[in-house]
Amino acid sequence: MIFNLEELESPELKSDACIIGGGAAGITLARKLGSLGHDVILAEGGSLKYEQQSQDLYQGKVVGDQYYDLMATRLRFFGGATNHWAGHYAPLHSYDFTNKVPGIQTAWPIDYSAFNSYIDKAREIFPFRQITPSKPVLDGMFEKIDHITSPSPARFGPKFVDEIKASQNIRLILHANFTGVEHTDGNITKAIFKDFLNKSLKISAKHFVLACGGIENPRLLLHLNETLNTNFGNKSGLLGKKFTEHPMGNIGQFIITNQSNYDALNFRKEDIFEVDPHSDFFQPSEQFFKKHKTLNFFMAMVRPSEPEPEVHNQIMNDLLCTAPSLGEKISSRLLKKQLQCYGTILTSQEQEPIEDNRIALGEEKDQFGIRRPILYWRRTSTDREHIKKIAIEFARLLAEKDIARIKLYDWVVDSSLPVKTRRPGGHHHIGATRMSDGEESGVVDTNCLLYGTENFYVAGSSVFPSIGTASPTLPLVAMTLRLADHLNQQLIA
Amino acid sequence: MHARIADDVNKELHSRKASKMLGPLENTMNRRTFIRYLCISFTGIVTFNALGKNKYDIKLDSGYEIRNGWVLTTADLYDI
Repeated sequence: MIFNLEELESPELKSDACIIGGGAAGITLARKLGSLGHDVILAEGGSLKYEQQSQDLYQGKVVGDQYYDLMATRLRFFGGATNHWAGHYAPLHSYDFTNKVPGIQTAWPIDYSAFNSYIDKAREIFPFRQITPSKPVLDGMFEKIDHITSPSPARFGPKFVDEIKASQNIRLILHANFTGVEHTDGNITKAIFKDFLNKSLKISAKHFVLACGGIENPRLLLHLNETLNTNFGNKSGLLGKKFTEHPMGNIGQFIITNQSNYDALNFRKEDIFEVDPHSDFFQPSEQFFKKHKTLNFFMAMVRPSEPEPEVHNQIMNDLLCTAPSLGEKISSRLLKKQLQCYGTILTSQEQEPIEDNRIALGEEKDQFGIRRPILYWRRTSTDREHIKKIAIEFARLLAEKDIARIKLYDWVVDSSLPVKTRRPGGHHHIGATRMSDGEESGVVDTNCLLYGTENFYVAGSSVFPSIGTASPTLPLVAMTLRLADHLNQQLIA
Repeated sequence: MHARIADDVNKELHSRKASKMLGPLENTMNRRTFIRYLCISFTGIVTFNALGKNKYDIKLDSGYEIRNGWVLTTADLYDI
């Protein structure tokens, strides 16, 4: 069933579970709990379609490195960010659940294999094809990996709106903008909403789940603590902090020096499931992490889909200037048409979680009196050191095997230079309400329950302590299915 | 040496009508590189470094160097 808040006659509603936010997490949770027979209210601040008045509530400031406008990096209507999701899928690995680098906390407080069973369940929701198993390459230091981009990414709004409309257990309330809660010593009794004409709605429930995205989740919790004079989820002082992204960018150019050596890196033809024909993705092996002590990353050798003679010419000229003998050999192979490939090296790296990268409340308020967010974000010196170390090692191995030569951009080799990239990140908002096994070290517990409360949960990418280089959409749906199992147990107890 | 490489390649390119793929290679090597190349050819030692070290030229462990951003083997540079 679907309602607009302004159409409701009663100012108060009651349900088993009140889910705040109709994005990937909120919709997944509502569908799952509804299918188990529980009475669910799903409160969405926007409408079924894009509306400017709703999107304007996503205004905020960014302080630090170049980053996207906070209005552009998310969408505020039913379906949330899945409405512009690119459809990438790269898996989490067992080592992503560990501390890969001494002194950098990336470990998860839950077991990888148990979580991975929910990944399998989440995959049923997405139209992803089968993934090609990774293949060890470059002396076992790297793995050639499959990297899936769905040709038709799941838009959760259009995909599930009819199902929710027909459901007798789910009430979707549109234009329900979350503004606060009522509680008694951490037992949340009501969530408060307003529409754009300031009409109020209070929802009573046994359990509440905040599922508003990786920036809004910490922002709204900071707002609650400020207005209620509480410290929910913040005994650790980490609410809003340790935000991470996937710093991205083209770090250099490459030219293939021996085509048969390059071809040997690839999957066997019989193993390939529609792999992107223009890009080759590589990820480090556990052996690499043990030796080099870096966070996770991937390297993609991206070849142009159409020949770009000017770029090719520029790369060759540059190589001839630098290493004339090598350039001469490659020129000779080019003339014999034994080589064709050149391109750019794209990377995405796991970021060091530091407290300075955070969501905070600014002075400016939105139309509901909630302070707009400030995102403090920069690449750390560790991020810069790691990408330099990783890029050099990758390039060194390709040279050693006479596969390719890589020219790294100045900002990669010299970490003091500003980063030059058109894609500063992946629009991935991670970790600002991080999960932990104790309230001294995180914001939510291993069941996503907000510390200091009895029945207020957080869903979405903000609970991940780290994310490797995985795209967060599938893992956050998996985590939400896990939360649904927990809430189901609570509701039937 | 510079002229020989450029001439040979251009000759081949024009003869194969493939100039769009690579383009003319005149003036591809600058003076510094040319001097370096001569030094390498005649001495085979690293004294050429003093002739014009790039800000980002870095010697790595075990036979690798970064030159002008390129990660190269010693053999790439010194024609060993």
